[in-house]
Amino acid sequence: MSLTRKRKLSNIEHSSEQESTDFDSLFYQNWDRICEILYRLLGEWDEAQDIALETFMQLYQHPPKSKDNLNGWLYRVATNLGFNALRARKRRKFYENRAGLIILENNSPGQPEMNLEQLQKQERVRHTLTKIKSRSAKLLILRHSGLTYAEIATALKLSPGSVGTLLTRAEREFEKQYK
Amino acid sequence: MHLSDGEIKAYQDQELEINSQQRVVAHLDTCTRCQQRNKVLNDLSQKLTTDLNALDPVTKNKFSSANTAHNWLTARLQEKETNNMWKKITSPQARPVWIGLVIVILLAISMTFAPVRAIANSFLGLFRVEQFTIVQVNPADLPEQLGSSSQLEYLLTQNLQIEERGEAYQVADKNEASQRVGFEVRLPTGMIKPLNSLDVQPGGQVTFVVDSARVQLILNEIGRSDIQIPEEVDGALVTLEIPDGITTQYGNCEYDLERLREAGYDPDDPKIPQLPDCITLVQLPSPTITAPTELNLVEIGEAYLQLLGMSAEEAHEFAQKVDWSTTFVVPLPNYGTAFQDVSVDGVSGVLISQELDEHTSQFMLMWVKDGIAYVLTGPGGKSTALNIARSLR
Repeated sequence: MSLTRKRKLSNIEHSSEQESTDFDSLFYQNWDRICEILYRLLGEWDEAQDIALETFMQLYQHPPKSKDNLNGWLYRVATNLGFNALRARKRRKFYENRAGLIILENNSPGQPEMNLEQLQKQERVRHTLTKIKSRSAKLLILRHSGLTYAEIATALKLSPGSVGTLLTRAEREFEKQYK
Repeated sequence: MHLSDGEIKAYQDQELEINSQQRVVAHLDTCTRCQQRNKVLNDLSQKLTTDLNALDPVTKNKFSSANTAHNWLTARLQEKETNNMWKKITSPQARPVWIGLVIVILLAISMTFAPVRAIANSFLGLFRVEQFTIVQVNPADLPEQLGSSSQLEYLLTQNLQIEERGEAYQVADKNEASQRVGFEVRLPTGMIKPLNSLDVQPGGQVTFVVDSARVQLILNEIGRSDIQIPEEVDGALVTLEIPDGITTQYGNCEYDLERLREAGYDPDDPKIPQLPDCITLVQLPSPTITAPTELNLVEIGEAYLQLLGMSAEEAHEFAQKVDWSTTFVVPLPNYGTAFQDVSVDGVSGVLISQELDEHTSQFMLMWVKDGIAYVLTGPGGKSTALNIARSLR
């Protein structure tokens, strides 16, 4: 099956934005970066990939009406899905057992480089991200993943001029909660 | 004037335009207060970077290459398309309609040929919907196996093809709408609620190639092994043609699905609220079915009605009264709905009504006039529906 011939993509292909209008181009341009963002959020390769795939499936099956900022749309949806998964995990009281389980799971094949202290710190950071305002958490994770202010503004529907101010607030919010 | 936190942060992140950058540097050279603020924010940023570094991948490239992932995506989309179609077809609301349509097609093929007759496209007849008739259906009475028939699922995905001719698009006015669809579009007059969309909905075509062996397996699965499929029908083509139509909406009809999707909403499993302020009108040339001729339509209709839950006697009696070549018998789930025949727009139509609560009801009015099928929905009762229909110009 060709991804570019199906009905849902027709309105992407016919968009006036030439550079990133083709679905496959969008996929190849953004796959690695979206996976890395989701990995930071979730700490598991498989789950990160799964949600990255889900993000692209949503673009394929239900593209936004406006085709002006498809990259921004992708990062917005990916972070929303990622945070949804993180919160769902929290609801299952995942944190209570996770560090121990991962250590057990990874004694041989997984991440021998990771020690218990690192894992606990990861979980504390993720827990903090779920406690602060949703927009602040997304700002921090996107910026830390290397997105420019312009890209962040597009993804989160912000004015580019406000990103610096909001990032500073988000950093304060995080550190206050993290203490 | 001192620098804002946002300016200092953007400066630290090298996100300022060159002119702004020079201005900030010049200011920091001379302003002690902003220098102190710059240090405070820089320390905060360093601390945060250290904390978030804990989330960075320890090893690189643990996820699959984009090429591999692309292959996965392709496979998953194929699987999802299959599942979605099946899920929609078998959902409580849609199942009677879709199953009904499919069963009609299956039975039309399976029961109507003289066994010795060869199949050829020259034998195809055209059946056009000219009127609607309602049959109330209790979904619980449908053959249970319909929803889980692997053979039917296979047939729907392999032998049934649905071609959509594009996405809906907006047009400026009634004249443009008429030009685009090739028939004279009529709109209600004197509406209180504002017109908020006038769209061309491109039509589509459903084609079904008969796989007689599989049809027989399905009929066996759903307990109708008494119906035998003549081998001669194997490979016959049945086509449902849905012409381009016009959809109009008045009042507040927006669900903002886009926002819901971005928030992680699953559009394939929607829980959509009622829209008490939304009136919609759909109009399109009557859909047609092209199928082999010499159909024993009454017999097909009877079997169809039985599959929808009627007893053999009820089905026989009902089927005799219907002109099956021109009537779309709409299966209506009996979830608090009522229906009646009404005189509308100079012809006979069907009004379906549903009480949402003690004070709220909604209607669906369907009729066919001069070869155009109309479906009007909205809040209110019979008089509201008929008044709107009467005002079409």
